[in-house]
Amino acid sequence: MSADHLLEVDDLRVSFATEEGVVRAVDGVSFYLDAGEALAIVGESGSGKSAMSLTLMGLTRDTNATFNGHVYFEGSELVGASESALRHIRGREIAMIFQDPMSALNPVYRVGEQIAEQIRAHERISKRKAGERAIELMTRVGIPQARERAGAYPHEFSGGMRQRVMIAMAFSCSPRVLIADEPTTALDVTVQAQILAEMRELCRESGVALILVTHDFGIVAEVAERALVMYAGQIVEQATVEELFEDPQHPYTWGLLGSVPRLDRPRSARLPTIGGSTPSLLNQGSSCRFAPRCPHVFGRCEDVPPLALQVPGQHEHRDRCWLSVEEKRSFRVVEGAIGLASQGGSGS
Amino acid sequence: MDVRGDMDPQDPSGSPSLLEVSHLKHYFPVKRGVLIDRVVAHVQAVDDVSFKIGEHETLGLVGESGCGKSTLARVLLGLLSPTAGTVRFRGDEVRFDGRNAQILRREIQMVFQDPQGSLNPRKRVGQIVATGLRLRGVPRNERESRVRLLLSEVGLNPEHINRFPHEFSGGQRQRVGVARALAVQPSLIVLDEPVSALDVSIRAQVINLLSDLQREFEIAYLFVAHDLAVVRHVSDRIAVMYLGKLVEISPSEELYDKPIHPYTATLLSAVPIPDVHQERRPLAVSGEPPSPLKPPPGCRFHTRCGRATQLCRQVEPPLVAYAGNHLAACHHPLNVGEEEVVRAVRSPLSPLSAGEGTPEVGA
Repeated sequence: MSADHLLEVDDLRVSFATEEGVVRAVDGVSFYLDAGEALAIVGESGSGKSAMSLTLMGLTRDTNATFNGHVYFEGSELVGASESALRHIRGREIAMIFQDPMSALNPVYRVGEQIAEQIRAHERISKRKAGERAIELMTRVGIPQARERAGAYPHEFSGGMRQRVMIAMAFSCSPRVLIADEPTTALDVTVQAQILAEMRELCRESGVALILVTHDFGIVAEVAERALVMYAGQIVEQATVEELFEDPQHPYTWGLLGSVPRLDRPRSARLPTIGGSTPSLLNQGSSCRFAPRCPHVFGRCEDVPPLALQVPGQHEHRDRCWLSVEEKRSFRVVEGAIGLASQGGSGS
Repeated sequence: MDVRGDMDPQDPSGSPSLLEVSHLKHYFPVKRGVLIDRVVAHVQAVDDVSFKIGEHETLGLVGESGCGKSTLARVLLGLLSPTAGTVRFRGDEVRFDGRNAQILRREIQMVFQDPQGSLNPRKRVGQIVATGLRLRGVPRNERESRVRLLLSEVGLNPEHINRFPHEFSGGQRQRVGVARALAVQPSLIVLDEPVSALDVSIRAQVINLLSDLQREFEIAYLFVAHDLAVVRHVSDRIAVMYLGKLVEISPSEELYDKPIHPYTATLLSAVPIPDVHQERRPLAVSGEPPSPLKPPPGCRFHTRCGRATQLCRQVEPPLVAYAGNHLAACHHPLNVGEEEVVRAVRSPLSPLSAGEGTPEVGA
């Protein structure tokens, strides 16, 4: 495979054997990430977005897990790589931030020690120097009085400050890729705005490529340049952020965009919704995954559509839907805005 | 000062108030000590808050974590008793003890954030919903048909009456929570972050359901949430809390078009907008709210406010009533002209410890 991209995922499949059957959490996902860019992965719970990002870090390896496909980081294969090879990449080349910083930090160690430990795991450097670096990093991510705060325990930090510690830790070894899985979901809006801005700034400064996993299109618009929309283990649409918001092609994307009340628009009487609920990942049939919830379903939807280029002139824009571009552009307008028509509506 | 009735001339809906909260406080004691617990401090979770909710009205209550919005909701339900202040329900003062609390709960119900944690996993949904009917005195033989009716009202299949909570998805469980609240035919439902644990596509379904039910059963809602876009969508009026104090309360659209308190403006500007052409806004505020154990003197927002002056550090701002039934507690209000400031009056809902003066023109 080419080494043009920093990270390249090719037909990745991750499944877990459970008592109820085989859960296909990630089902044929391919995408790339270039140095310095910000890619958002959007999806709801069960869409496979977290399973996929954890797999990139080799964190889903378990006796009941099966992997297929390839993940290339700077040309070298990560799927099936040895634990020791992975350990070299994990943390140093690809770092990760989780939704809940409290459970990612060790409660019985001082915060400064934990950052220093991370540095010393990847670099031969004295404890003292590592400690100094930890304080520098804490200052850089916006923790006031870093020198004093380095001696505090995680429980003495607020949620926002803990997430800053995680960011400091992630940046401690100057990674090439940062994966942030819902990094601000547990935080208040004013703190969220600060953390997102700081993360964006740090990534830009140091040329780190960002994979941001989120369910919030507002965050996608603020942070990312490209986005993948995932549904039931598959990518259903992938585009630049501009194309995704201006010319969304997949009915699921319309549904997501339409069902969120927006502060920048006049208040509507009723929110357009996506009927039904997210599907189980057990025993997926051979039809389009979104078909049971899609009002525009027709004969061809019995086969899973390929993730294909369909919109002329948009070379990044792929989607998994059998409808023609013209049909999509007319079906997606519901009461003057983008949304999903109610079930049994037009287009069948 | 008699608070009752004072605000009626400005009543937005003209309807009589269902619930009136006056100077309500709830302090949590902080105890320390080995053998004998000494109270060393108090968390001023809710500190002198007054407002009212009209019949069939939705009042949104927003604020960041630790601002006291959930504590306030719990006090209204009688799950916590107030440290000071009164709550009147349809004009009668509520006493938070014994039988009184029971009567209160018949009128006020709650839907919780976590549908999983708020349903008993060992009971079938039929039993969960029927409990309210039993307490209301519905005869045993009528209960099952009523439960089926309630389940279909909230969009669940009545045939699922014998299922356990774990057999439902998150959104469906939240519907069970709503059906349970409806069972006692309350006149007010307190919704504490009712959709924040749900997926985006399910959230809209539950929001639509709540507004349908409100229309059908003529219930008032107190909608507690941190998502400002959702709150705007559902609320007639919105109250904003910061560190235990009410800082602004106003009709919904008015609040979003013209926030008067800098904190409200900050909250609004921090919401990410799903539009790529939207300017990336500069950071509206830095830092985090101070601890409610030692709230700052004067205006509690002054430590994070760009407009703060000496006055803000010393004198707690009273709630001031501006035109359009818009109340805000700020010495240096945003988005109001000189004339409006001159005409503004100190609201009787102001905290008792607040200063007397209304904002000065040109301040």
